[in-house]
Amino acid sequence: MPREDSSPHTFEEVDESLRRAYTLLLNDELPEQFVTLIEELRAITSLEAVGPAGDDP
Amino acid sequence: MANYDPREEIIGHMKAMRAFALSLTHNQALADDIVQDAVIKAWVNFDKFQDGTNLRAWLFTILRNCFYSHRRKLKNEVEDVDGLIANALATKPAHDGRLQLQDLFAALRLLPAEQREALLLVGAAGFSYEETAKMCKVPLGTVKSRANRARRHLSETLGLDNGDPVELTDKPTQAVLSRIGVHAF
Repeated sequence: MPREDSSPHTFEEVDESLRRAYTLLLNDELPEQFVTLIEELRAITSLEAVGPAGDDP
Repeated sequence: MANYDPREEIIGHMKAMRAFALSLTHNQALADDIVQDAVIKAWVNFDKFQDGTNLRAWLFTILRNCFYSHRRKLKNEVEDVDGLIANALATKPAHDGRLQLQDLFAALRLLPAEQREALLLVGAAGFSYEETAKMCKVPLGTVKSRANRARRHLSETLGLDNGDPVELTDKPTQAVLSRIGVHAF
């Protein structure tokens, strides 16, 4: 079959297959590594908001 | 009440970032490392994000840059890891879902990186061609061409021209994916 015979319908099937696989990944829970990362980033943000030690009068 | 920090919105996109990273790398540990780098970069450079523009596209652009940076540094290791994952998939008990997943995984690995990312961004992650072109820093026509070449390649490799759908959501497939820590692609 000539390559140019691939139809838009077939392309839609490819996209649909990819979306199904992608959905599996999206349903996955974030691992502990990311929970820790988020906590650390929030902690740094809190410190930034307070300012460096010694700033207080 | 604590002040709202707009950077908190990054967290809501982390699952999508992991999915994209895994689809690019085919390796969970490497994907997570890349996502972690991208999240940190986005968090500390959030002042560079233009309010009112697409945060997800901005994050995916950073993620993509991190991927190519890692790829340059770890090229040999990535290739080895790909082989290990393929072998892990091949040793699991045979069933249709696993075989179809393996087929999709293998077919994606055969694509040139630029075709794979174009198809994943447009076909799987739901970005527009325009957004994808901006992310990849290439003309709109290039993205369309890359995505369609990738689709054609996948449809031929997977036999979709014969009208056979690829099912990936059956429970055995998900169990295999969960067990080996690589969830698709």
